[in-house]
Amino acid sequence: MVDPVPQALVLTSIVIGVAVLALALSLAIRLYEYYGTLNLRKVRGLKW
Amino acid sequence: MVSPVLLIVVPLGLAFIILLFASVSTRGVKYIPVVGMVFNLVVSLLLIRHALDGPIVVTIGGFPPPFGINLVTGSLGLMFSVLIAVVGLIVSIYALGYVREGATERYHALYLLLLAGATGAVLTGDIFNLFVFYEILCISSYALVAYLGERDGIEAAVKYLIQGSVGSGFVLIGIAILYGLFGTLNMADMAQHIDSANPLYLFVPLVFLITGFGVEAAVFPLNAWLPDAHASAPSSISAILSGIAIKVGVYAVARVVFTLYDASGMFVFLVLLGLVTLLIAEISAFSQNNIKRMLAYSSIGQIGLIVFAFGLASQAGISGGLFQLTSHAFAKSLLFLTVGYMIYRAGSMEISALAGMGERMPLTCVAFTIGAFSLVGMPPFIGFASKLLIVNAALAQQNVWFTVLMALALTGTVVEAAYFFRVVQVLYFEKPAMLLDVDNIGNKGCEAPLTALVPICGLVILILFLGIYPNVLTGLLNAAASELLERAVYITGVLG
Repeated sequence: MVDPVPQALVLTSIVIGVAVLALALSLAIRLYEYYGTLNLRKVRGLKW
Repeated sequence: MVSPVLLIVVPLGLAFIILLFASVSTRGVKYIPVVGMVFNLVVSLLLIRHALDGPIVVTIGGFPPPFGINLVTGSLGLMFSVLIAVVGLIVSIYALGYVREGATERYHALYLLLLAGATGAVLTGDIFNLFVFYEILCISSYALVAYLGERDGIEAAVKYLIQGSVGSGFVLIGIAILYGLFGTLNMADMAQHIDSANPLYLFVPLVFLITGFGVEAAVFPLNAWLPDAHASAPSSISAILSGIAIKVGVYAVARVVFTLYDASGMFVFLVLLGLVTLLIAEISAFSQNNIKRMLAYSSIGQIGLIVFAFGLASQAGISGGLFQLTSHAFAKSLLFLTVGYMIYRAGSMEISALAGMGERMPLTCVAFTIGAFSLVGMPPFIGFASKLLIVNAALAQQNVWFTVLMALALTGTVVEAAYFFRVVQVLYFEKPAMLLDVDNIGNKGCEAPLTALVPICGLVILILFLGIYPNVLTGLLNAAASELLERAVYITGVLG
């Protein structure tokens, strides 16, 4: 007998992770278009 | 009685229908969020009477509460759902005319997803379900911040996404540890057995959950993403992020600390955290030249005040905090909505560029002034009633320390008054620095369009009405506050 709940949880969080990753990649592409780099130290359009 | 499931299902379903509908016609798509939010508002208002008698528990899939996923529509959840529906409706009307650029059907679909996520997070009784809805809310808000595709928006969205994902990771690990300890995900079941676990093992997930949800709630020092995201997003999205998204983070923190843990040792920590957040944010807001960044920092400060009031952990304190949450949601979305068209007309986000707007856009500027005065806490606006409740609650603690802390929090309010009055002064009493061709632009064409004025007037009426008759809300707020304080009632309400 295996507890099915953790497997369901892990599967759900993997799906969420994929969605976040897809969004992050598409944002990274746009970020590269604007700055020509993915080095976050050089991405300083907004003041902190 | 209507089933509370519809509050989540309808916006979620409509979000996908929008995308299908857009392939047929893109013109009518923008009215779908308005329809969805009207539906949510009506259903939430209908449910209030039932929820005041006790939480409405809906089991999904036919498994009774400790197993399976359940929705708990208590007075607290319903108060949030009404707030989400009101602000969501107002902002969706504003978006009818405001959102023109880009693929607008994606904006409206993401907007409904955001609201569905927020409603789901406040209504669920299952902690993993809370995480899933919270992620729906977060992912759609990352995408909406980047909606315009400009350099600033993309950069802000990347920062928001990285910090938000780290926060979500903390939440997930916290939930995993709790599941390992208790073998259940139902919040009421977990709360019932929380005393049986070793306090040391309980402390780690508590810290993880507060940190994770604290990122979305933007409590200091987890708030670095907020000024960028709120300043770079389209103004309608800034309004919904400020009015709804960060409030859901506060709700989640309160749910964990009060219902799940009853962690009385954390209350002093919450008070101090709230105070530090309030003071730092108000001082940062004072030094901003960009009006949207100023409003964003002011949001962080208000969140600090709400967390401070929650930390008092008395009936009056929590209902004061919830009232402050409501008043901030209305006032801050009003400010962002008015500022949206002011920036549009002035062509710049600098405060100095808004000089003389009082003549060019009289109605919008009056609405901005009302929102600012309400946020500062001047009578007869809603902000006065809510801040008064918090001050009374702090004094009712009969403790010299709380009096001192409240005095410090009020110092923050003085700073807040200083920067808001400065903007109002610029709007009305300063001549535009550049010689604008005022005659050509004309005074009439300058006012915000009707689709913006209707929601703005709606918010002004709400702020005035609730400021003069705050007792309308008292019943719901007190019931919501006792749901947080009396966890035994919540547990028996869910588990029977």
